[in-house]
Order: sequence, then structure tokens, then C-alpha cells
Amino acid sequence: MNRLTAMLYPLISLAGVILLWSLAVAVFAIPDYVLPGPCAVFQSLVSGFADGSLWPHIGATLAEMLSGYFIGGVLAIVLGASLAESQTFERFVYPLLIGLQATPKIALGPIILVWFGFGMASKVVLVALVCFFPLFVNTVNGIRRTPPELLDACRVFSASRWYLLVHVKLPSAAGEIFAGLQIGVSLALIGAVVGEFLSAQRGLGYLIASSSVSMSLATMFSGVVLLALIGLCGAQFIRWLQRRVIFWEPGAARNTQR
Amino acid sequence: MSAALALHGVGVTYATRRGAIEALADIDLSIQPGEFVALLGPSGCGKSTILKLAAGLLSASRGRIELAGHTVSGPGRHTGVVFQKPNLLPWKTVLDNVLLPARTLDLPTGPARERAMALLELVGLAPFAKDYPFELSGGMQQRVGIARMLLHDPDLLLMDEPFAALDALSRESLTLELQRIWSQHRKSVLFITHSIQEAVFLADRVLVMSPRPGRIIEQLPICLARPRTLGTLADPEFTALCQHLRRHFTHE
Repeated sequence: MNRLTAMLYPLISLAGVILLWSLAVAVFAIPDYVLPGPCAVFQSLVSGFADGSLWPHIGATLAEMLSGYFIGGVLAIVLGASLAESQTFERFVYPLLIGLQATPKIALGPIILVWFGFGMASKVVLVALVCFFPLFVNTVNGIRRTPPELLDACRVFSASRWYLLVHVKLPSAAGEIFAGLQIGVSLALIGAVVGEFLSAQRGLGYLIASSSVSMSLATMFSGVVLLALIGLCGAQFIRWLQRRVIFWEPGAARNTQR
Repeated sequence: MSAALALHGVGVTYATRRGAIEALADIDLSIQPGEFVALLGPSGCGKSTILKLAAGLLSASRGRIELAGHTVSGPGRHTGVVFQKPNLLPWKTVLDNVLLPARTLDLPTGPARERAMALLELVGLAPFAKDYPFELSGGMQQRVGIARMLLHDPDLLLMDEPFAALDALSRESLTLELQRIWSQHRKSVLFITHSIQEAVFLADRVLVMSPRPGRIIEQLPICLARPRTLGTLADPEFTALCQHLRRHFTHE
């Protein structure tokens, strides 16, 4: 079975769901302000793109999400690597951070809004915060799980701590780091949307929230569809990157690497 | 001339939750320059601990360890090590894996590359220099490990059951290959094994260890002519030596 047919099957299910949806709307005569049909949502998307009114929202959400994701990701990997290397840091800070992981970072949203204003900065901070924790914990755990015999095999040739970190521990942790990056994609979207719900002039979260006032459910649904698409593309991109970076792991595309 | 490796009254005691465990008791051994010494013992007797001590990965609780007259205080540039598992870095090519000691010991890149290629030639893997370890068989990976061990031209080779995880055929060919490499380069070797035949076939001298706490209970010189071949395995003298050593392990 080639990749194209593999992609076809879920698309068939998707078409089925859309068909059921439009049938249900037609058969039960559900009014537009409760549940618009897929056609209405599609029309709203098309007109939104045609008059250009959707682009600023998409752009704002993407910008918040990407910059927050990048900042949170870099911080998580750098801090995770240094924490896994330092015993004192691990003893004093790690349990605290594990405790913090259990608290919903989203709850800090209103506070962050107060601190960083109602513009883009507060959303970026919120996104960075929610992305940070899973990636951070995964980085620390991944580094700690480096096979000790691999480290010994390098130590006997007088490998320095820096060499061990960069050439052995980090590549060895790459699988877990990517798992953290993967979780981070959906968390970044959640962070951006929640930030926009709270207060914004732009963004898909703002679009959904503000359309609820005028009960235009078709617009709200088109916002959700666009968010889903962004999440899907992000997750696919990370998956693709993972196959490229961790080419040595079983299941990775071996035949492409030579 | 001082011994390539010497252990004087070395003991190792581990602290565990159930109290102190004595892994090694009072080990005295020495390896002369150019000598091939096999250390034979049942599993868990502490033979790998001796190798870790010599490699500088572990420090002894008692006694003194010397490499060419200098006390060992950590990993040094005069030893090369291979383990039971090849332990190659999966994200580096075969060539880069062989070059690892050059990177960690800061050797000049140009000559190191040339030497790495020559060593890959020596172990028959020159065409695979640009491949990754996962593309090689277990025996080939262990050959890469041997090339890596030799890169920085160490005086003492420490080998911890290097062929134990291989299938019988790769094991045989690598044993012959190791003898060939050793006869070309004449390094001092400490070869740890639990195979009596392997020990007798390769070594100038076999040291037998007792179960824990490990002690050396016999030293047996092997005077079979070199190079030894597969024919040696059928030599009555070879079988007699193996029989003699086997007595240490059959009393249970």
C-alpha cells in the first residue's frame, strides 16, 4: 500500500462525517443559529478569504503561536539540558517544577494579561508558558535515560562533559524531546486561543469569541476549522522534522538516508 | 621496564542497602609490554570491575593500579577499550565513530582521518566508512569498535568480552582477526572472557578468577606456537590446556 492510498482512507471517513452533518441539519431542520451546515461554514470561509477579513486573524494567531512556541521551546531545551547536568539545580528546582507542571498554566492567563498588557506580548508569554513544561520535563528525562554504557564507552576515551552532553546525551534524548515538541503544538494553539478569548483585537480566538455575540455560528465554526488546520499542519511538520533528525531510530525513513 | 598494567593488592567494596559487598579481594596482576593476557572467570566474579579499574572508570577501595609505572587516576590516552556491546553512537557514521578518540583527545584532524581509514581497511570495513551503525551487522559493528579502540595508538588494550554477544561464526572470524591485528601492532592486551577456548586460543597467559569475591586462583602460561589457526583447536596440547582450565568451573 503506498502513501497516497493510506492518506485516502481517513479522508473517506472525513467525507462521511461531513455528509452526516449536512444530512442531520437538513433532516431535522436545525436553524443556522444553532448548527450551520457544512456548506454554510464553507461559504463563510470562502467569503472570509475573498474579502480578506480572515487573514489578519490567521496571521495574529500564527504569530503568537509561533513566537511563543519558539521561545518556550528554546528555554525548555536549554534549561532542561543544564538541569539534567547539575545536581544542585536538580535537587532544589526539579521537584518544584514537577509540582508546577500539575497546575493548569492557563489559569495564569488573566494575571499575565495584567502584567504584559492586552496586545500580542501577553499571548506570546502564555503560549511560551504552556509549551515549556512538557518539553522541559521530557528533555530532562531523555537526558537522564541516556544508556550508561554509551557514556562509559565515550568516557574511556577521556570525553569531556561538554562532549558527552552535545554528542551523546542530547542526541540520545532526541526522541523524547520530539515527543515534547509534538505535545507543544496543540498546547501552543490552546494558549494562543485562550489568550485571545480573554482579550484581543485580532486572532482566531477573538473571531470565535466576538462572533458569539452576533450568534453567527458559521463564522465561529470557520474559526475552529482553521485552528484545526493549523494544529494539523504543525503536528505534521514536527513529525516530518523528527523523521529527518532522528534517522537512526527504527521506523524512521532508513532508505532516504545514505 | 615497568609493566604495561599492574594491580597491587587491589580490592573493591560496594556499599549497597544490604551492607557492603566485596566484589574484588586482593588482586595482584601484571601485564608485560606486548603481552596478551586473558582473564577467565564465571559471570559475576568481578572481571569487568578489573577492566573498569584499569580504564579509569572506577577507583579502587584498596590498593594501587599502575599503567606503565604511573598511577591511574582516570581515563587516559594510553588505553583503548572495547566492550561486549559495540556501543557506537548511532547518529554518527562509521568513520566518525572511529574518529571519536581523536575528537575527545584533541588529536590533529588530518592524520587522524588517515589513520581511521587505514584502521577501517585493517578490519575490512573501508567501503562502509560513510554508513551508519544500524546499517551494519553485529560483527561489523564490533569491528568498528576495534578500529575505534586503536585510533589513538594506545599501548594497552582493554577488551571486555568483546565477542560474547556475537554469533559463533562472526566470533570465530573476529578471534582470528584480533590475533592478526595484535601480531601486527604488538600491544599489551587484557582480554576478559568467560570462554575457555577463546582464552587459550588468544592469550600468552590465562588468569583464572574465582567467584565473588574475585581472586586470581591460577596463572597458566600458554606456549602454543603462533600464529594459531583453526587447526590449533584440534591440537592435543590445546585441548589439554582447555581440559585443565575447565576443572576450575565444573565442581558445582
